[in-house]
Amino acid sequence: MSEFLQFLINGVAVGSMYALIALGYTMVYGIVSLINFAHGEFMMMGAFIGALVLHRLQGTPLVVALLIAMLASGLIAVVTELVAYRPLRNQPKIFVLTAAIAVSVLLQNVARLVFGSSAVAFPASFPEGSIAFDSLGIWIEYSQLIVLCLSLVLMVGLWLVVNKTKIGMAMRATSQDLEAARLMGIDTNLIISFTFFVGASLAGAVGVLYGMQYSVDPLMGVQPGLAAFVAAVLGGIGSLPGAMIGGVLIGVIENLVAGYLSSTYQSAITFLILILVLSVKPSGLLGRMTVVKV
Amino acid sequence: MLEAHGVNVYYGAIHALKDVSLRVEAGSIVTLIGANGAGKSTALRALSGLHRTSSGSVKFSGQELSSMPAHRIVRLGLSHCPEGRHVFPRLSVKENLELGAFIIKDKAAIKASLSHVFELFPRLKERLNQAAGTLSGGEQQMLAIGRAFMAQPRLLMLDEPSLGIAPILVQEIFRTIKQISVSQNMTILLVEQNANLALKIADYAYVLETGRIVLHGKASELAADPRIKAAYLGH
Ligand SMILES: Nc1ncnc2c1ncn2[C@@H]1O[C@H](COP(=O)(O)OP(=O)(O)OP(=O)(O)O)[C@@H](O)[C@H]1O
Ligand SMILES: [Mg+2]
Repeated sequence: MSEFLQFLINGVAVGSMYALIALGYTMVYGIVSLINFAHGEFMMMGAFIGALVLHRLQGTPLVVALLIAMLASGLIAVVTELVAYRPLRNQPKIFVLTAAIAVSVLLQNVARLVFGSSAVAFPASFPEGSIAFDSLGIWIEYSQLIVLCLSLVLMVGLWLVVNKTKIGMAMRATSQDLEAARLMGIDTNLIISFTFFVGASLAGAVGVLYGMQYSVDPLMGVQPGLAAFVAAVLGGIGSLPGAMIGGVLIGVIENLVAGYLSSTYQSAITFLILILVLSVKPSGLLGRMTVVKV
Repeated sequence: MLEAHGVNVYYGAIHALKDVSLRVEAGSIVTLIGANGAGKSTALRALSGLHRTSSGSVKFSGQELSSMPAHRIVRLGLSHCPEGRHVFPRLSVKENLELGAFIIKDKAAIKASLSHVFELFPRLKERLNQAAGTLSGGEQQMLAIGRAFMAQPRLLMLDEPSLGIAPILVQEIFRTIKQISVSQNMTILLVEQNANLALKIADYAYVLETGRIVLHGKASELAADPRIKAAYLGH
């Protein structure tokens, strides 16, 4: 039992990071119907930029580095949309999907050129130690606690922006009916840029957290990017709560599989579950679309 | 107030509007009638900036609109209630109306137009927190008109407000349109397939056939015109 609870805690901690990345997939899909395959690379860029800031500007508070990483990831995404996706918006979907894959590879190679191809340690790390719950036989690492708290803060922040601000209202309107939104006087191109910015800055924050826990390398966005994509589809692409629930679920499932079976089957079983869920409910757990347009 | 001159619009190779010219005088109700596929919606889309014109000019209160994006045109006071309603389905009635007033900063003015919309369409008030997508077709049409009204436009363009709505409700909606025009002194450009009704409330009318204006004149005169009677009024 305590073993199970421990896997659960570990799963929720990783899953909350997947959830943050999945939010970006789902927001972008909701507004331009695009699976942004370069999204994992925005996370990787965030990790590198956070590391760079801490490395070059010794003494920068971690929070400031985190904010700079989020800002930079967001801006990279805005430029990506402007240069690579927007010109293809009225073309068949496959064009812009291809562009997204190209951007993904491009960003990986840019990182390799600028930062080198080997993994580097992040200049900062989480405080060591954990809180133990002896009666239950489980413990929570400080790092997990920080990840959970920060994820919660970011998710609440996102929720407030989307539901309580004028720009959030414009985002919801644009994602439900782009033309009608234009007729309301909403600059939908600006809203699309903003959506890319917000989604990628969440991914950038995860990049820093990931870097602090593991290390930083040009391909570090691939696995979490894929897991988060699966999470977004599982939760119902286009749905923000779906992305959060999907992310946590994938994290938990991965940890249970790795704990009880073997970590080599982790991804295979994750995909199996995705296929099972989609065959029963093609729109995902909280999705409303009947067809997922990829 | 609005003056289009020699407007051409293409969808790829399809020439949807051919040298269309029309005028809308301030304070009037002008209707644009025509059969399915004549290009009526295309005309409104061109005027509101949803679709680019390939040539011609559109002037609204002296300002050239033809290369202006849609979200700026509405700020000049030209509001477009699109065909098929296009309410935001998962937003509430209230949020839809608030979005109608997206361009308006003055909170008191928004409140005033909101209560005005409730006067025009009391049903919307009863359904304030209902998701717009769950409203009936007629209620959605009321919401779409109310939403366009919330922008406090000087010119309100309505695309087939009678589409898919029970006859009794159509009467009600047309009465409201007339009321908006009279009491708010709002200029209206009304696109309709229901020529009978449209000609009754309009001052002036244009007839569109396969992308071309083939006839125009006072609504009362067109209603009596034998060609119109034969083609559009079913006599
Ligand atoms: N997006 C589009 N792509 C290609 N052709 C289009 C498009 N929209 C409209 N058309 C064509 O342009 C012509 C005019 O269409 P439009 O929708 O303006 O007609 P309408 O008069 O509004 O008809 P209805 O009364 O059925 O609404 C039609 O032949 C239509 O097929
Ligand atoms: Mg039409």
